[in-house]
Amino acid sequence: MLRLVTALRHAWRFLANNPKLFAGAALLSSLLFISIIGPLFVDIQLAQPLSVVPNKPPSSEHWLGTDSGGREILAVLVVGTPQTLRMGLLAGFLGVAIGVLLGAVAAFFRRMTDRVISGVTDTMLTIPPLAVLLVIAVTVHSLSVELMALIIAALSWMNPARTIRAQVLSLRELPYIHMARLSGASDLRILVQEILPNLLPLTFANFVGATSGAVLAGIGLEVLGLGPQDTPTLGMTIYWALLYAAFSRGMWWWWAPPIAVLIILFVGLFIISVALDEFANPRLGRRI
Amino acid sequence: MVTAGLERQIGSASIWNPASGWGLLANRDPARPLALAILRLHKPPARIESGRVILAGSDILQLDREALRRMRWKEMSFIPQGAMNSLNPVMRIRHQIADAIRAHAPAWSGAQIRRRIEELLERVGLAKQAADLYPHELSGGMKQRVCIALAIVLEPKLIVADEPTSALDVVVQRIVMETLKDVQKQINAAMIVIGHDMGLMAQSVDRLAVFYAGRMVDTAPVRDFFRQPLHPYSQALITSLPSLKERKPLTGIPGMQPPLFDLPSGCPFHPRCSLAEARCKVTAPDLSVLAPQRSVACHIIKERINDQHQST
Amino acid sequence: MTSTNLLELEKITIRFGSSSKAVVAVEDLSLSIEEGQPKIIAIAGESGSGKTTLGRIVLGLVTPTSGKIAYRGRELASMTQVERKLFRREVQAILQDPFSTFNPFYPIDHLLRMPLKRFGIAHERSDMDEHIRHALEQVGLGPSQVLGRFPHQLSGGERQRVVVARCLMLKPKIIVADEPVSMIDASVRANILDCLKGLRDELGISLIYITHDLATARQVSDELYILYRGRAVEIGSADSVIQEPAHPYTQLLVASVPQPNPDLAWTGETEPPSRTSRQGDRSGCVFFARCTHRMPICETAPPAFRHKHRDVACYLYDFSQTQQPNLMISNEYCRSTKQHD
Repeated sequence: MLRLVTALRHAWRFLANNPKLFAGAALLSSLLFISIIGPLFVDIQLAQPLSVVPNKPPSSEHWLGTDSGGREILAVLVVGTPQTLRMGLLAGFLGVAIGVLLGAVAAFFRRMTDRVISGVTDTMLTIPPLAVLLVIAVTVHSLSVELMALIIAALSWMNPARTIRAQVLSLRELPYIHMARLSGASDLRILVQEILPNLLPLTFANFVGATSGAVLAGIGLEVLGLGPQDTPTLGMTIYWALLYAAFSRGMWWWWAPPIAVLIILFVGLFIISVALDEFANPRLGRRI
Repeated sequence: MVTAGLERQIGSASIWNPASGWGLLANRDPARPLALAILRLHKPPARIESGRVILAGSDILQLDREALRRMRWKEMSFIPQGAMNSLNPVMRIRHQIADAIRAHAPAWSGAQIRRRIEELLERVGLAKQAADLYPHELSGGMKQRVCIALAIVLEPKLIVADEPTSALDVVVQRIVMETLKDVQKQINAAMIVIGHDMGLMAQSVDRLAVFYAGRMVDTAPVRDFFRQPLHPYSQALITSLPSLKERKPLTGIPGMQPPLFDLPSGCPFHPRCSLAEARCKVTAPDLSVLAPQRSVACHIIKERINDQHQST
Repeated sequence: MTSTNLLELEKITIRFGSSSKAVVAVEDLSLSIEEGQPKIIAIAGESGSGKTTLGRIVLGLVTPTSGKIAYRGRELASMTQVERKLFRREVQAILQDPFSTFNPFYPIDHLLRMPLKRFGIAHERSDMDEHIRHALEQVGLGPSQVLGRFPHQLSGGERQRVVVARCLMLKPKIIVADEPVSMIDASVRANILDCLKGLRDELGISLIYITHDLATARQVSDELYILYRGRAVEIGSADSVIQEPAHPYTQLLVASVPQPNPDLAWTGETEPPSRTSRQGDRSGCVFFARCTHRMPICETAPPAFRHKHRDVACYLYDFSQTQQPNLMISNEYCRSTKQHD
């Protein structure tokens, strides 16, 4: 119990010294809050179509009003936000995991391994991810959140791979790597024990960027109507709003809330990446 | 007085004669803030708390920005450590020198500038063709000589050289130091050389000032210094030097230099000093003149010298 | 090549890159250390001389382009796993930068525990602690000063001593020390150098001491190799090489060292060299371009000639060809007028 308290205290002090990180984390936490606590207060069934009286502006009964399909917007937010978050985090995590693995292995083992992996990386970089996504989405008809995450990850691992590869190329020449070798450590052990931990800041920064990119790609698809048809994700909500001409009908309560949530998400991720950049880039003068 | 880091006194600057070379000997940085402060190149959190720096009759610390800018490079210039890294990698040498000239002597014509560049390169022993090269095409020693040329471009009265040869090989070091001394003589400038290589100091400067824990603890003309070092730290340093000419047992100084923010009480050297007495732990000694042109900051040595004087 | 030698390097050459623009780091270098006769070999040279690369070869971190390196009679390239592990354990290193010798992510003891586990010396934590404690005591460090601390919390001198302690724990036969004191405060250097000498005297460990500082090389080593552009131009006992340098480059090097005595004139070259050697030009003597004693024969690379118990790669010491013996070249670089004061 005491350890938990001291750990929390450390975390608090850490956050207090890093206002940007704190701000970003706060923004993201608010979204998590909606996702986790929301269902306790809001009836998520109301996010399904034909559950409530449609086209109603915000009132005491429905805080954010209802849309043309008979869904309550607040419930839609509570249901859709975690979907978007899940998709982004999953895609970001997978993409970075693949990228770190391939980049580190390429840089550490060099020669043929490096040639092959770098060749594949560079080739795949030329493929426009959104175009591929579009084609797949149109063909498959109904994309689930998981499938979308998988496809996005498969098309976004290249950037992390390149940055991690560059970092490992310089790390592997450092004296402490030689010392590890002289201590009898095998190549694999050196890679995992000595190099990987020093990649954490860069990896995390990549992760934040990848998540952001994944969410954007997902939203892009959904707004075109190619997302999951049965789940009210944020992107799909915007799509329906566009389809039903919510703008011209003045139904701001329909399209504004999802956009607001997305703005909070992107700004939160951006601020965190700026804060992480301060750690990674010594010239910006920040220390943990 | 100059204060840097977490508010520690650095030392006092004194007036010296032109055409002489001062060496500031310091291990691990304490003298560098002083040199930078003289040129007012120091950055916060360092700040100059008190004292004066008088060069050619005017107090540098009192000058406003424009007067300071005009004074820089014309009256005083700087050769930084790792000078090879202070050359702009995407500009030819010619343009970098011309840049310096135009910034401080805007009235010169293009022809004048060109002639001066050639003259300068010759002075530092570089071929005229070097002017058209980029820094990466020159060797370390050549780059350093370009930096020397840059420093003397307007024939300043004072040159501050911060570890001018630390990244160079011993053979190139000889050449560069010779160039520096030549140049100093030619333009009759005073020079302050900051470094930690005692051999280099012995062969290059006229007067030496030793720094310890941010304070000047010993100054003397260089011959007197090496013949008879007075301060215990100076003595210990000289003894600990590995000799090239003969085999001697290796002796170091126990302990290590304290960090500037955590100095011991009294004399900062007392934990490592073989002469330390009770009073050394309590009061820090002042730099006192103990012989013509020699000052030492040590209670015990001061006493000994005074006793000697009294008995003669 | 006798199999009784602990370490044997025979005509090692390392070339980086393709043949047209190849950079030769080390050329035709031979070195040996005998079993049971520990000694300190100093490899001295300026930057670009190949000395660091040589250290890496001995440590098995770089494979030579040609030539053989063998440990305990077995060539490195054809060692079995077991033999290789033994080699790794018995040949250790002390590197130049005491800060980056340690992985900043872990505390200092990480580097001490790793070899104990990997080489099977100790597995239990308490066992390891015992070994570490003992070794730290030998270098004058208290365990509380070191264990659990991170690299940035110790000074450069302390860190370097921890590295020496690590070496002691593993009981190596050979230690490659690459500029071990160049980044250490001057007043602390002597202690560490003394420590290194102790390793030879008390524990029978041979050292390969790589440095650019001739003075420390003189104080510490038995044998001295002077390297220039990858070749050993002079090899001999440290005392004789420095007191009476034979090869023109050695003479230049010794004369260029500034003496901490203002009355001793600082000699050496004061003019920049009129010709510099081009990287690829290795057909003749490596020092050809800068040598003031150039002769036509120097256009072919000189072999090592024996002169006063030393190996000097210079035709000036070739007494076989001429009828009259070549007089020892007057050391025109050393024009000191007053010797001692």
